[in-house]
Amino acid sequence: MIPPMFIYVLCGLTAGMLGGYLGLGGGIIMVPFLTIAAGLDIKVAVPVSVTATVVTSIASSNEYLKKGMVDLELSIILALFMVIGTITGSSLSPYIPSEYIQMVLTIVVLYTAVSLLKSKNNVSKQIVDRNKNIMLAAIIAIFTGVLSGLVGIGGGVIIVPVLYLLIGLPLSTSRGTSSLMIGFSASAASIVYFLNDQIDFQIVTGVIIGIIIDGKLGGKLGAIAKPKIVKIIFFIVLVYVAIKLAYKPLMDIL
Amino acid sequence: MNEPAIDSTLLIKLQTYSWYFLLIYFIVAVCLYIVGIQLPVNLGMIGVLIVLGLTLIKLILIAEQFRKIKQIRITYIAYGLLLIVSITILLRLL
Repeated sequence: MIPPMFIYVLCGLTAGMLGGYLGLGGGIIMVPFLTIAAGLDIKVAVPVSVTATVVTSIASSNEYLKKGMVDLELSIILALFMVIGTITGSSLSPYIPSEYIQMVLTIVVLYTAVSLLKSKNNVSKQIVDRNKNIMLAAIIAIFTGVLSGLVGIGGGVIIVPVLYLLIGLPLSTSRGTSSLMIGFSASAASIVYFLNDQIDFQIVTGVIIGIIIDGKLGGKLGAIAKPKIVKIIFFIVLVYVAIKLAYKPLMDIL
Repeated sequence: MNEPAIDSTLLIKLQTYSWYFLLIYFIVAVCLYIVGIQLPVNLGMIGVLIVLGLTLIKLILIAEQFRKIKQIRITYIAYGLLLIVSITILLRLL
C-alpha cells in the first residue's frame, strides 16, 4: 500500500505541473485529486488546497514579474474585492453540507474543461474601456472569492478570462496578474481555515513540497509542450474528475 | 498607463528567496514525517504560518513601493486589504 504522504506529494506534483503549464492556481486539480485519489472529505481537501495555492502564487507570479507581465495596480485593487469574497466563502464553509460544495465544484470543473478547450492563444484585439469595466471585474472578483473560499480553487480559471476579455489585458499579463492576486485571496481564506482549526498540516506539508518542486517545472514544460494536445488531455481528465465528483452526491440527493 | 511603473526588483528578490527557503523547509518537514520523527513543534503548522507571513511582507512591500511613486490610493487599498484580514482575525479570536 502506498504511504499517504506519497499520495499528497504526488497530488502537489500533478497540481504544480498542470497548474504551472496552464497558469492556474492548481486548486481545480488539487481538490478533486485529494478527494478521489487520497479519499479525503472535501472539507479536509479545501483548506489544504487553499493554503497550497498561496505557495503556487509565490512560485508562478515571480516568473511573470521577471518578464514584466503583472499589472500590480490592478492586482491590488481586485485582490481587495476577492479577499472580501474569500473570507465570506471560507466562513460559510462549515455550515454548508459537503455534497453541495462537491456539486458546485463539479460545475466549476466542467466550466474549466469547456473554457480550456475553447480558449485561444492570440492576444485580445478588442478595444476595451478599462476603467468602466473595473467595477464589473470587482463584482466578479467578489463572487470568485466566495467560490474560492468555498470549494478551494485559486480562482484563476475565472479571473484570467475576466482580465483578458473584460479589462483587455494581454493573455500573458492576465495570467501573471491573476497569479499574484490569488496569493492574497488564498491567504485570507487560509487564515480563516487556520483559525477554525480546519487545516490538516501533515497533508498540506506533502502537497506544498510537490507544488514547490513542480510549479516551476510545469511552467518550463509548458513552453515546449504542444498546447493543443495538452488541452485535449486536460479536458478528458477534467470531465472524468467531474463525473467522479458528482456521482456520489447525486446518488445521495436522488 | 501614464503613471510611473513601480520597481518590482525587491518583490522578485523576496519571492525568489522565499521559494528557496520554503523548498528546504518543506523537504525537511516531509522527510521527518516520512521517517516518523515527532518534534515538540508542529513543523507543518509553522510552515503554513511562514507562508502566510511571507504573503503579509509581500503585501506591505507592494504598498510601500506604490507610496514611493506617490500612488497613495493603491497604498491605501493595500493597507485596506490588510485591515480587512486583521479585523477577520480579531473577530475570530474574540
